[in-house]
Amino acid sequence: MSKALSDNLWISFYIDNLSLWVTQQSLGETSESALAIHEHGLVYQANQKALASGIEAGLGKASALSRCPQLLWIARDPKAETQYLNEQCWWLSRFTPHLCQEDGFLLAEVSRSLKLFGGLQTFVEQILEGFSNPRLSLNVAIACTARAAMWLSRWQSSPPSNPPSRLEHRHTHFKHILMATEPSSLATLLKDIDILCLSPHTEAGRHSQNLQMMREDLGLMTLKSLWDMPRRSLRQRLGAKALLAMDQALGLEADPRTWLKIPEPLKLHRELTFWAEDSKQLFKLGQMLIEQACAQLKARRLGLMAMSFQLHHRDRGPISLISLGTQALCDQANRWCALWEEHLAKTVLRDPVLAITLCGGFAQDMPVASDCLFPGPALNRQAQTALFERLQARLGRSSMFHIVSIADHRPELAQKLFELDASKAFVDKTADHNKIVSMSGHEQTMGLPRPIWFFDQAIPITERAKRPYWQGPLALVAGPERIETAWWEGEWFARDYFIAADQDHVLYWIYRSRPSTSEQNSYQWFIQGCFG
Amino acid sequence: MGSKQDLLGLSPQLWWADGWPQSGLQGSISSGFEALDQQLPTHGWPCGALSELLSQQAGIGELRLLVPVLRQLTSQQKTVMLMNPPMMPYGPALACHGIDLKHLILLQAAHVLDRLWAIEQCLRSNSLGCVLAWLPQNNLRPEIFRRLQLAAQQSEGPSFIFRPSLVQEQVSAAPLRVLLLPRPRQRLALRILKRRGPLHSSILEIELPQSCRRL
Repeated sequence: MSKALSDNLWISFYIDNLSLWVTQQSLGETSESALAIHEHGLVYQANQKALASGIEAGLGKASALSRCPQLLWIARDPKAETQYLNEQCWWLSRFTPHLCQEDGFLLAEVSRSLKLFGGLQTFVEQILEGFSNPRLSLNVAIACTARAAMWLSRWQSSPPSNPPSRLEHRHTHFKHILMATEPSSLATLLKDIDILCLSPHTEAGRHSQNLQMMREDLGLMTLKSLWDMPRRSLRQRLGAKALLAMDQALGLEADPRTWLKIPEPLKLHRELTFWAEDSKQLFKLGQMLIEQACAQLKARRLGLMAMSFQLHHRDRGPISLISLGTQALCDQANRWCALWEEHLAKTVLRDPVLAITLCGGFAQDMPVASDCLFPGPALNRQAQTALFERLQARLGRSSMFHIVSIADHRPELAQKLFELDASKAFVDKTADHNKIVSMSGHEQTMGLPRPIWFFDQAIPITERAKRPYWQGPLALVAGPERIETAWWEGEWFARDYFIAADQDHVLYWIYRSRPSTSEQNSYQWFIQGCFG
Repeated sequence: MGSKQDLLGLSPQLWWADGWPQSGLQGSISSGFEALDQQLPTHGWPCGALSELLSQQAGIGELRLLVPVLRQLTSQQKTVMLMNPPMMPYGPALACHGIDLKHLILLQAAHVLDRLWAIEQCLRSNSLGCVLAWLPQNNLRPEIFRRLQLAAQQSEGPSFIFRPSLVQEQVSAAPLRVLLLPRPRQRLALRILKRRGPLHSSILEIELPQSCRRL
């Protein structure tokens, strides 16, 4: 056996109750009634409750319903099963990029990842922890050839008489996993495998009938018994593919595989088995999709800045779209879920929803986070961005502003508000301005001090006994300061600014304006600010 | 005080009412006024706690009271959030006071519930240097402030809530409550209604910070 072979290490995953699991997931957690999955009109898998009432694999519909009248009779959905396995693949891709799927098996080639994840045992335990679900009957085997791992994972215990009915509950622990890490141990471990493992490799018709016949009539139950037969007659009876599969399992023949590729952009689709009439009902499902998407993103060290949910309605009308956006690349499920929750709370469904799709935007490489022990202010930025996104999701984009001070002698134009864009919050806004923006202060060298509170629209006030009057007479404290515009600056004005105090010692910034130069005596008092 | 406590074998959470508590304080940030610092536990505005500033009307100098704090925090590149100020703050004046406008954010929320939610989110996230929130309603339930105080405990910076002076008779969970009274000639009077420490009955007068040019 070649050295290359002993270097490989394959982990194979096989889920006994996959069809049942996938169907139950789409039905929602609440359905606890008897359930049978059928394929070609015969029971393929059934849940505990159905098994208890006498349903077994291979029963027809009529006899199954006569044994259990309230049985849910649902067709197997191989597409959904493949999709589920694919999604698990994405999750596994955080451990190794070498993943493939075949006939309901998930295969991972892990020899290059072992060192990084701290040895085989820790590695497998980490994977099993991710898969852990007491309702999932997961079988795992490890071998140095892919096919041996597959066969061991599915047929590892004593061969059952009818494989699909194996629905007994089994927890998987590292110590129970069959391992054939040495090429020399392959033959010993494989010899008791049921020859039904060859059925995917025999052509339908003569060859697969021969396989059945050999097993049932000739008593050739295990692979060992096949190996003892002459190869030529085996080739005649079962076909060349079956022999090739056996040789591949033993590592005698090459077994090339293509690795799964991850499609771009991210898209996850879920059909609902009920009509969601309230948007709140969608939260849980969306959360599941987000968690799945983020697991995929994390595995590939990617982040998204936008994702959207498409809601497919019962009336097949236009699809509703809920777009979520973050200010920085994000791969954290809880951050997306918070946004999803806020957006969903604002959404009113125009029609019951039947399915939802998560579409990811353009995925980019996540920047590597700083791993310094004592993080500086930069670390807070991330939490801050998350906070601002959340606030803006509920209050609207135009709820948060930056104040920018501009060097302009006209008070109204000396300040500008910018909607907050958290990703650029700390970039100077001056770039798009021709005027110099005074950020640091202390530039104002002449004139009166400016008020801290400013009224965008100056409020006209009256005059009583030759004194401006605003909730009481105002006393002029300082001034005047003349602020004028020239004809080329748009609206012309000439104002005399004063600082005035009222009886409560609140200081105001008021001005006296002259409508035009011609009427010297007509003027109006305005209040424009307040020294808070 | 510590020695008396040790002698009696009391829990450090109990403190003598005529002295400052020895524990349960998270640190503080100097208010910038010597006279005020001396009257506050840990000599400054408390961090990780709610401080209520009550005033009869807006514009008597309540924001200028906090100018030293804002100047200090923004110069440390910490973000300051102004939530629902009663009037529009004027950038040139703030810049004149030495506040870095880059680190100042203004938030406007129309509904009271949204405001309270936003305050709680800001305090909880502990990513801001300081939160200044205006709540002009005088019929808010005390549970709200207990909740906000709990949220404030998670933040490292000081948190200020501006409320009308009408509510000074109401119960509040804020560990520090200060009543602001207007005074002439750029001064402000403070009465500490509640603090973690002995009662303070006298009225404190401070001189408000002036912008770059004096009147």
